[in-house]
Amino acid sequence: MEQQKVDIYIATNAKYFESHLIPQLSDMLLKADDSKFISIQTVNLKDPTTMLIVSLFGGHFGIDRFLIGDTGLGVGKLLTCGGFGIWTIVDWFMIMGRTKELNFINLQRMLF
Amino acid sequence: MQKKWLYFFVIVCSLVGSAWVAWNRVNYVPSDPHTGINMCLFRAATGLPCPSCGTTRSVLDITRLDFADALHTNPVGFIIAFVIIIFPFWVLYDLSANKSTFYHFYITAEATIRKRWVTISLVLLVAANWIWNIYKFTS
Repeated sequence: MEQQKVDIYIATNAKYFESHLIPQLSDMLLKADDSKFISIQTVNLKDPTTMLIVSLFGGHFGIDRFLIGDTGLGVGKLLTCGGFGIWTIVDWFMIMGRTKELNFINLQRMLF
Repeated sequence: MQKKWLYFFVIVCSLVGSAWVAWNRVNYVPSDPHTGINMCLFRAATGLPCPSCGTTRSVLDITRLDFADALHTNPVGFIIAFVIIIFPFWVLYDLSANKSTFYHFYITAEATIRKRWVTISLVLLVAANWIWNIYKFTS
């Protein structure tokens, strides 16, 4: 893929990924075939800030985990009163990082 | 989720859960609610129970082989009791036999829950249990 396209993609979507993974993401996109550009745009990236808000209000019921795709952990959280409330609070701090991590994994899956 | 993290998580959660049940079995007197500790953020914040409030009491009923009371307190107790008893042994079996049967089960279960009709049925079940829980709590 052309450097210019990669730069545009990263400039628009940097907030969806961990900052330390941006160079790796850039490399991945440069190596990817040009035909993948459209499908890369269609990857459903979750907004970490939205997930933080969901976690603050619905984290007790595991809704944050369900939304980002960690269904098993969501069920665990739902059935244990949010992990005795402790897990809920831990997730307020973890959920943004986990969302960014899963965004990267989803994009990787699309590319390879 | 990576396999090693899942296994670590299951073992730690089962140990914490078992310790919590054991502590309550010794210290919690059902006739005196002040002997119990409320660990539910939702109930502390709103005064209403969440869908899984009562699970500890339900598991305690199961340890006394009082299954009818357990069902009445909160049916989720059966799921949690099953998980606490079976999952750690399943994980230990996998670790000792160097297999991934539990990990595959977890991945399949996640995929099944994400199917639309399964999700909707489970959400309805949880909602129904929640309404029942609030009804029991207020009456």
